[in-house]
Amino acid sequence: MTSLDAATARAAEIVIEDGLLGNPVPLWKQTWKRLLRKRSAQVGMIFIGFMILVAIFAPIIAPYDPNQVLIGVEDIKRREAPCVHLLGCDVAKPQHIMGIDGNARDVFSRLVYGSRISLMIGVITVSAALVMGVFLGAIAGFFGGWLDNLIMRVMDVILGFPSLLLAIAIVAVLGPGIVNALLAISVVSVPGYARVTRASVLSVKSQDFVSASRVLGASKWRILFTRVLPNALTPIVVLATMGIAGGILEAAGLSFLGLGAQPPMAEWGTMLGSEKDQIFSSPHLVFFPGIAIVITVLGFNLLGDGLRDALDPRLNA
Amino acid sequence: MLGYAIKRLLSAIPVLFGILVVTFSLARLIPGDPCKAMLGDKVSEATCAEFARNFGLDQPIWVQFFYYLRDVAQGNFGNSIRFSRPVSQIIIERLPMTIELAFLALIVATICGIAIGIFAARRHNTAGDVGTMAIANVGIAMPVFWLGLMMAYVFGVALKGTPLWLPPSGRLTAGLVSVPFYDVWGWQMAKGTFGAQFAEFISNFYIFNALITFNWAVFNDAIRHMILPALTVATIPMAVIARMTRSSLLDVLGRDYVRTARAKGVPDNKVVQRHALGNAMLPVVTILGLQMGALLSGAVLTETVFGLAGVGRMLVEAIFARDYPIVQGFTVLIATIYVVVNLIVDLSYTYLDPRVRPQ
Amino acid sequence: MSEPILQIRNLSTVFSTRAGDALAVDAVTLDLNAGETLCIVGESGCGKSITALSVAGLVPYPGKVVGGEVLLTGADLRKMTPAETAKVRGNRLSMIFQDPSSALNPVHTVGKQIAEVYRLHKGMDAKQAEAAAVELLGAVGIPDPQRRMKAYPHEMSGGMAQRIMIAMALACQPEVLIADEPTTALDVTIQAQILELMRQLQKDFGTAIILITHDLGVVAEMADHVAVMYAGQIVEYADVRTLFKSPKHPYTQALLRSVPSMGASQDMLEVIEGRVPQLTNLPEGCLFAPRCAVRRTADESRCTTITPDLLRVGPGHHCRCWLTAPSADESSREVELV
Repeated sequence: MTSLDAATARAAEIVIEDGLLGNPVPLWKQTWKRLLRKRSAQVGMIFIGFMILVAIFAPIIAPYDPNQVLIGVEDIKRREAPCVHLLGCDVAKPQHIMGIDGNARDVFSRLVYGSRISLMIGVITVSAALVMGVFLGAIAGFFGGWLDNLIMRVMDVILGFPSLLLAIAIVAVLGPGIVNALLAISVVSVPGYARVTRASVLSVKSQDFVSASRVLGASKWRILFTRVLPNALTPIVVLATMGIAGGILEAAGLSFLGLGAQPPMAEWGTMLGSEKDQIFSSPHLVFFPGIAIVITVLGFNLLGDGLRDALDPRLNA
Repeated sequence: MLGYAIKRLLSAIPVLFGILVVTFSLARLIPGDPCKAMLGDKVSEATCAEFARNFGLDQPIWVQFFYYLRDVAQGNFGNSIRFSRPVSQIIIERLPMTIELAFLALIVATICGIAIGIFAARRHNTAGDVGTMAIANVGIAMPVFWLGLMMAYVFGVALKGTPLWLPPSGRLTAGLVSVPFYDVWGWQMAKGTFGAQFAEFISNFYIFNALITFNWAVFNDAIRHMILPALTVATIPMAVIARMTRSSLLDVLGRDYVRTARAKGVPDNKVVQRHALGNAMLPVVTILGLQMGALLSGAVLTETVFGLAGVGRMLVEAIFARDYPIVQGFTVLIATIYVVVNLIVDLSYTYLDPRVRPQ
Repeated sequence: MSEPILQIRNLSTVFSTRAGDALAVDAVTLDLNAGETLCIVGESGCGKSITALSVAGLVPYPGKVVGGEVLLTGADLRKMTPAETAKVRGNRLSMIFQDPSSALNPVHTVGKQIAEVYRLHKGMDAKQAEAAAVELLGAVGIPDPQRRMKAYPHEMSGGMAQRIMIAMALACQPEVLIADEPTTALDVTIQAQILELMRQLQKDFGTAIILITHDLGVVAEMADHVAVMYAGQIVEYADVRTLFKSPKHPYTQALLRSVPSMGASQDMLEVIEGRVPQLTNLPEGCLFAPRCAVRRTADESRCTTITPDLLRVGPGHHCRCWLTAPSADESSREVELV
């Protein structure tokens, strides 16, 4: 939405104010209602919901064990192209809707189970970064002084690296592996949360109700956790939603380079990376995991977009 | 103007310093004997002792750091374990390719991104706007290496035999050689001097080298090889820039001064050109600096996909080969480039926005 | 009286919001005579600014002018092509706005912004336009105009910026100037200077002014005629003397009573109870009826059922109220303002 000029703002104000005064609904409920009206949020929630369902019901959806080598079990070849009976594939052949990978495993089953890993990667990296970032940002903003300076300069240094590069460097030291990759991605995304939290804390800190709590004798920590942080949540929620998307993408990137999840783990980035040299002969092995990543990342990005619009009432004329 | 530039330059120093601290620590954090880590497992006791003396490993940590700073300042990043050659020499060979790739991608991303953003903003709330932004959203969600692989397949295999076919890997077709401009011009240079190294560095920009030596066969071929990688690296920043341009332009078009321009009788198309674009570009320029990070990361991943011998691919290979001097040197290098580019972007901001220009 | 220079006929503007369509300007009909000042007054949100923007064809999204005519010396601005309107705006009809600091483009020098008007409408080259702009800056009372040409808007005070806006608007000596709350954002002392400047330039150039304001003091000082707006409609129209002396509409009366007057001792200022109705949910009948104190004592059922027309209540005096309406037999149902 564009910033409305004074005249429209005035006209819109009348509509909005009366709406607010007319039926006082709780803020979160209003936000939720606004969120549901956003097209981007709708699409995002559908994509995410779909992926969550796939992850939960993976054992039911997946026709095979994701790590089962099918050579000798069925009449198939390595890297065989997809065979879908509905699309005219010979009914006598076993159905593998996304084909067979280089280790003679069912790609579709691996993809389905991969949704569990990817969603977990997203949630874990964001949770870890969130805890570290919010903590650092909150104490920097709340206490100020040299502590603030120190923390924020360190954050500046982390931001001084392109994020994937720093993650690569960290993995280089710690050694390749999914756990180290997650740690690296969490560390490089800390500054975002720290900055946002610090800014929110600074703006909330100066508001009257915080001074009021101080006058009443509440301790600094108490004020921080009961008064300041809940008010700083809005931008953090948006950032975290987008962060899940970013985390999934970066983890896939590291895995693609062989620095993240290691085979035989059914991780989408690893699936892509281990078959990248077969792109010219068996493109299906690269195509499908990529699509899965796009859908998941797109879902969280769109939801984040919607959240940002819904949580910022100024933009809702 | 100058005062601000100096202030901004000074503010980059702590960040650069921090980057050096981080990369220094990386090497110290490697588990095991640093000598074996830096020189390889097969190194002899005597070499290790000399290594320890050279790097002051027997000295306090801050002295070691001082040695490190001194070396970096002299462009000495140590020797590669795998190739037994100075890391700086490898940088001279590898960096031009990566810069070429990132630079082409930057141009594509900026020009196309801004054009798409303007297109969408001017058709606000129409099918054209919604459609372009939907595509941009998908563009942002794509893993860059996946996009690269798919492009390599589509243009390199599926379109084989058509005029749209493009080479899916390498920098030059086999048989073509990029002859350094100093050889073409018959320059004689003493080996190992700074001038010679610089000339070699420049000559490794194949496209530029072909241009100044009028070698059109190599020029065309090098460009054709760069199209797919550059488009791949450009896609995500392009989508980000397009979104940013659109929302920024929409914001500016609703501002009072745009209304003033209309009230003055400035025709519609000129309103966008003269009064809206300049203002709308300010946040886009900020984003541009940050997108350099995406470009460099994208270059690392894309080089692997397209078999290009740049710093990104070298870095990944070095990690697997446990070639830590290269990892350390390249990390410093890429981070420094990133900081410097952001510095340039910030300084260009003062040129664009008179409000941040100091009086 | 000669033919009015600007005739606004049944001008209507709708804002499409999620809550429904809001009729922000409801069939406004007004005349502006050459060299005269017409003030449009009303509370915030009554549609006076949108009226001004509708006349100039500058209504922002999601608003849209849906009907009516804007005749500038007989030619309908609404029927012109975008290129034709661009030639009129800033040349024969210009506009200045409420907040001068945001109305000037921050990335261009003020000199360039003024010169642009000359280049657009007078076909001057860069040099001529610059010279003309320097002269104009002097005329609007900017000291050291040569140097000020190179200044950026953020380097100027609000009053200074508004002078620049006025200079820009009057560069081509337009027939009509629409000023949308030109002094609201300024300090009181600067307000008086700006109004004085406008009056002086009006005299010099013979420009007719539509002045939008909520400040009745400004009205008393500047206006020849006054239109009072409420919820998108004109509720009363008269020459300034008549309006202040014998206001007919209860809303106008209330407005006048809500202003502190010099000398007269008042115990308490009157406040108009309630708020401007939501434009997407207008009351039945007279739009002011829910807030109207007079109606509560009078016994008039039409107030809450039928919307009154703008009827003639005296020479050049029109009012939209059932309680002041002439009885049916003497009414000529005169809507036009002649």
